[in-house]
Formats: sequence, structure tokens, C-alpha cells
Amino acid sequence: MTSRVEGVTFDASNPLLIARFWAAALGWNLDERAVLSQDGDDPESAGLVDPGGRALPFGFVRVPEPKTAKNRMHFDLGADGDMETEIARLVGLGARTLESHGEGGYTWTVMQDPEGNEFCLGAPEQGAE
Amino acid sequence: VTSQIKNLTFDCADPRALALFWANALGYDAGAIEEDEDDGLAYVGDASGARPGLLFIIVPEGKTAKNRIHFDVSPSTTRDQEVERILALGATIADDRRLPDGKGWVVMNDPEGNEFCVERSEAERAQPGP
Repeated sequence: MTSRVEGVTFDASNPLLIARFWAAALGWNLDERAVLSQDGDDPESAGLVDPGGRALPFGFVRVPEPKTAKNRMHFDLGADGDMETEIARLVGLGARTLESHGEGGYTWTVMQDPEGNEFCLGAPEQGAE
Repeated sequence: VTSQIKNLTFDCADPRALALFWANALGYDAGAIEEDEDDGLAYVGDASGARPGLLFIIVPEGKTAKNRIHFDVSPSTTRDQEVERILALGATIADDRRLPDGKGWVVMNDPEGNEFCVERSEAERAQPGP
């Protein structure tokens, strides 16, 4: 008797733009079925699926209001390669880097996606257990 | 090279209380919640490793706006039973979008006001419409 998370929905100003960012960031695919009200390159919603089938689908839905505050929920991502290389790749995709931290053998960088949603990219410090 | 999702992190006022709520809501092992009161955080992992860990970190500021990210959850029972169960865990109903024909969903707030949606179960969605 529980709920399972079936998906994660992002409010967006430009659903397709932000969906493409997260697709490239996570190595996922755009879900063509979730691209509704197709109007050129500016649909009302867009979706992503993990081709490995493991992670939750992401949906992106256009809302009229802009982001006004830091999100109370964010994803922590782990780079599956060199941290600096991955940060540079994400910045190339449209992310911004805010600040970096290190504590207890763990380092992470706070970043924002192209619409300002915060996320963290982390990796264990080299040489740390 | 890509990035993988490891955790979902909540800013909050009461890490232990919010960890308990979400562990019970989503079926994580509430007995396995790890707490670090000095650092003001609580963490619960998924025993199978298939789902992200849930991390709750105390922050000084309160919630001021609707979150730009929310969960859509699907019950193992029925939508209406699950709404009642989650209400008893400390959530509230923000917007009841259930329709007379049985479709629709319920927008709820967790105990700190984070929005999430309770959808129909897979079985309910598989039923033919009236």
C-alpha cells in the first residue's frame, strides 16, 4: 500500500528547450508521444524517457509564470566520468555553474539548467574512501 | 559521458519529519532513515538501489513559491484510497481535480507544502471508460 513515483514534472517556459537540455545531460531520449500541441519548435509540453528504463520519466509543461525562488527540490547527479569534463559539457548544453563545495570526502558543484532549476553535480574526491 | 541521478534533495525545516513522510508515502524503509542532526540532514536510500535516494537538508528560508518540479505518484491500491492514506500521513489537498467520470488527479501538499500529484493507479487507468 504505497505510491510509486511515476514521473517528475517540471514547470517550464520553453518545454522543448529544457527537455532537450535534460535529454543531453542524462543521455535520455525525447518521448515523441509527450510532445503535445506541436507548433513548430514550441510545443506546450515535452517528455523524456530513460532508454535504460530505470529512471523516472520527466515531463515538461508550459506554465505562464516564471521561476521566482530557489526550488525546494533538486536532483543530485553523479558524473560518470571526469567531473570537470562533465561540468564543461553541461555548461556547453546551456547550464550555469553557481558554486562549488567540498565536505567529508565529497565535492559537488551547484548548477542551474537553462531555466534556472538548481541541480548538483557531485563526485567523490579523488583518493578519498 | 553523461550524468546519472543519484538523489532527490529537499530543502526543508524538519528533515526527520519530512523524511518519515516521504519514506512512508513512497514505500522506502522508514527504519533505515539516517540522521545527522549536527549537519541538519536526513537520508533514506532505496534498498534495491533502483530508485534515487531521498535527502532532506535543513535550510533557513521557508517555501515562498510553487515548486517548479513535482512528483506524479501512482498508487498500488486506488487513487482515492491512496489520497486518504497520504492525508493521514500529514499531507493536505491543494486542488482536487477528480472528475465525475472517475478520471482526474489530486494535487496535494506534503507537510512542508511541496506539491505533488496523486494519479489513478495503473489498474484504474486500464479500465474502460463509462
